[in-house]
Amino acid sequence: MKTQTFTKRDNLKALSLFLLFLGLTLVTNSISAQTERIITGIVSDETGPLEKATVLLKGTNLFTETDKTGAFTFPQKLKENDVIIVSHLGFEDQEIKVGTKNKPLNVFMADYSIVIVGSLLTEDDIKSYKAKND
Amino acid sequence: MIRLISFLLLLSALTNNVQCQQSDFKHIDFKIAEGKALQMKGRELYNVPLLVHNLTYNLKTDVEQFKAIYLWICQNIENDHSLMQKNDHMWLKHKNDAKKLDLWNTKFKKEVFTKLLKDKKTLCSGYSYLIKKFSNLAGIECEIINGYGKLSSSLKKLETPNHSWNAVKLNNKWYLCDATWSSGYINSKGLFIFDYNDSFFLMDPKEFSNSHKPLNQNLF
Repeated sequence: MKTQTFTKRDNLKALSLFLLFLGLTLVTNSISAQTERIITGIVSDETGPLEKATVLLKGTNLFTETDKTGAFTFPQKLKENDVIIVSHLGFEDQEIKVGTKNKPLNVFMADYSIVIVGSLLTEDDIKSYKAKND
Repeated sequence: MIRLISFLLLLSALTNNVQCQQSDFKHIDFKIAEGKALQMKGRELYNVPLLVHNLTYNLKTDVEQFKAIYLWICQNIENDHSLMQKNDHMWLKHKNDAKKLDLWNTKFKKEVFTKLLKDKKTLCSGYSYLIKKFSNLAGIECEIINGYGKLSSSLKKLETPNHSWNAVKLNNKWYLCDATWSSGYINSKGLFIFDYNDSFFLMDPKEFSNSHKPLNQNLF
């Protein structure tokens, strides 16, 4: 008799634990469903749409690139606070944190400001340098 | 303002830490970093953030990450003689006309970046630009330094700034390096030969100053 009561209680415990677990799973799922979403955007520079700019999820190797119209759609759903890096040679890289607003990103890429100088080493430079230091 | 502050910090760091050199990292084994640079050999510059991720992923220290970056750039980017000659010519021609020099630079900059992207060929500024861009993407502080550079003859003979290199912050100290000169040299036929030279990687600042003079003299 005693044993049976315990079994009933145990069953009840197990059932309530299961329900709690189920409830939690549903809640977590619905939270992530709310915040994870497809990120799209348009990348441009001062002359217009910027083609072949890359968009990478920071810390991963997941990326996409912009098309002729400067548009991109990130291949994986992203969540709030994920950081994407928009990059193109010759422009300032941009790190963008995924926010809460559900609208396409508008990314403006500024020209990289640099003064170009250049000096090369010749074979003679190397030879005389090595002779001096060997 | 932020730029000014960081520049002043860099300036004081460089003047205070004259001991920063390669031997500070004697205890580090660079084999994994070297392997990563080798593994990525031949990759294009179309996706620099991905390249940097692949070069630095799983490398534990900043100096290892920087070494992988430095090696890849030195072993995959060629010096371009014609770009340098073209630029030298214009700098000499307009050396007393800042406006014209500025216009030239804006136009030439585009050509330099296009050549870098398409052919992986460049001149000093392209190297120092890549070193900074790659490092910053890896979360490493790095600055471009422009000035005068001459290895075989006297620095005094130079009329216009002709060289560009980097200062990089590792373990809270600033170090100097010259990726252009580490990458190789131009042979007697005018062709570039890849010949990696490690001595310009985190070189002793005293030795570095024998061949490098920054535009802003206060840096040393």
